[in-house]
Amino acid sequence: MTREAVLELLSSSDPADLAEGARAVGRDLAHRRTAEVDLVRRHLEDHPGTDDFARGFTLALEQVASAFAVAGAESEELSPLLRAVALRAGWRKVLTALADGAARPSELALRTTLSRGRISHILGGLERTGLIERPKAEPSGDGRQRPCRLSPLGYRVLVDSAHTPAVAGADLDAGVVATTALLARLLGSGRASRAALEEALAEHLDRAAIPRVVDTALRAARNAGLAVVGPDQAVTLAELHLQDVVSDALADALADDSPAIPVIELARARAPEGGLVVVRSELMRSRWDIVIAKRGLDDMRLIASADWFTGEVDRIAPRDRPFAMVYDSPTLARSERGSEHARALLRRADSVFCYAVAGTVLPDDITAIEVA
Amino acid sequence: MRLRTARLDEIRDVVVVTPRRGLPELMHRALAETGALLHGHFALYGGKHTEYFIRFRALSRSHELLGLVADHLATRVEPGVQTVIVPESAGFFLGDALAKRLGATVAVARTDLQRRPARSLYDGAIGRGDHVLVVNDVVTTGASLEPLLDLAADHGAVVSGVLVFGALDGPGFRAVLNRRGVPGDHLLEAGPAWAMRDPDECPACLAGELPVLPAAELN
Repeated sequence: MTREAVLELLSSSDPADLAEGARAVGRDLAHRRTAEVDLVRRHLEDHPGTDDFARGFTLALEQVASAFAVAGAESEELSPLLRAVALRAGWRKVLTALADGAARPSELALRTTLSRGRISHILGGLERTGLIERPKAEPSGDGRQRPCRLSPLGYRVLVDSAHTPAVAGADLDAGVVATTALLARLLGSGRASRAALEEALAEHLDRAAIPRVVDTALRAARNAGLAVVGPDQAVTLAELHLQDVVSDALADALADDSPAIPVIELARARAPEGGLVVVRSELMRSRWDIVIAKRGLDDMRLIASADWFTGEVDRIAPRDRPFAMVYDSPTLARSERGSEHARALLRRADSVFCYAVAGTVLPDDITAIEVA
Repeated sequence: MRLRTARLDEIRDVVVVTPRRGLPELMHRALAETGALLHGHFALYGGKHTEYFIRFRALSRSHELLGLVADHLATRVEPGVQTVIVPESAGFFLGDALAKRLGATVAVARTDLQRRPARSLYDGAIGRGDHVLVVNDVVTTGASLEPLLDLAADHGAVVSGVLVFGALDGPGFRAVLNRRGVPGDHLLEAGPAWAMRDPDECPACLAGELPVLPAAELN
């Protein structure tokens, strides 16, 4: 659907049109087409609808789009802003008032019962920190009366600060360090839950601060490719999560009626033309072996470390056929750097890949196949 | 000790094949052509050390030989088998080939961290009252197959038999089958030249050599 068509739908007051337009925006969000969504968001703000229903709808949609635009923002980036908002009651009042829609300074003064002078001062601060946006003043117009609206960052900070009371910066930093250490300990067994983490922190930190501290620590762990946080808030060590993903794919592949298995196809797609994919696995080698045989995957082979000893490597990866290596574990890929046998095989490979979760750090010459 | 594959003349002394027409020739050829019989210094999970090891995974790479082996074993099966239970290891390939010949489905059991069959299903199904066949590649006495017999019982299935390519300790294998009250068969066992010894009596250990690998890691 073209942007014009979406905008037209969203300018309608017919609920069916609005719903159709919202679905289109939803698809853009799902595909991370944030620039498209931002244009829609700006349009909605200039054309907020013709009746109460349409105005409410467009405001809701705008907030969703804005929240999404900064969903990936780091807590490290947000925390100074959250602290600033927590310390300034006037800022909070104005941001809260703007959540009801764009407004001119005079209208904000009415909504917040603050003086015009005070509003002007606050708006200057909010604009400098990027929490609000104001169109450029028109040469003929009155600059002081330009309408203001929340920026995506403003929405995010407002929502976050509403849910979590102010925590002093030093406390937050100390809390995150403590939580990260605790997370590492809990993950020693491979899996933990958010609840267990919060529970363990309860004796060290102010209860109100815990959710934010845990959020930051988990995000840091996730960004570093150390852990994966599931929709059920279970926290799994990245390597174990990856094992689950590959193991599930192999189990799917054994069920006779399964169509192509995406995780396996991602590896097969790496084969050079006329060549093979050589999977390097230890823990799940029997499953790979069985799946390759049972599904008749002629372009795939398995190499387990036993093959180094029994001299079968050249039969599995013949010298006259190009091949790509695919590791099914980053730990294996890293630890094998020291193996003479593995290095000899890697030198013959056209390219080397490894299944990984986002953020996993791999050796330079190994490309991640992201599967989670 | 260097790892090497056993020669044909050596194979004849190392394994004893069940005397059936054409079977000894087939088994000797299968082990020699695929290099499946390894000579080295191995540690078995039961604790014994040995100089030989059958790597069934190597044999199973030959469709022809695997098929001929399965043909021989298929003649030892009672009629009416619906499901073949195999562990997720090299034994799968033999079980799969047998299932194709019997028109049966395959149920794959998990293995534990030491690659021994476990009493837990990984793939496939075992129906209540099904007649099932338990299959694996090479066992010593077959005690490692007991979790698979228990798995069949857990699902209310009837065990028609246990078939393996090799049972190194033939009398021990028959004793396990007798104790469990199930029929069974195997195609070869360890001959007089294939000794399994405690580590303190193992000549390689006495010569100061470390075992290359736990044997199961080779499959």
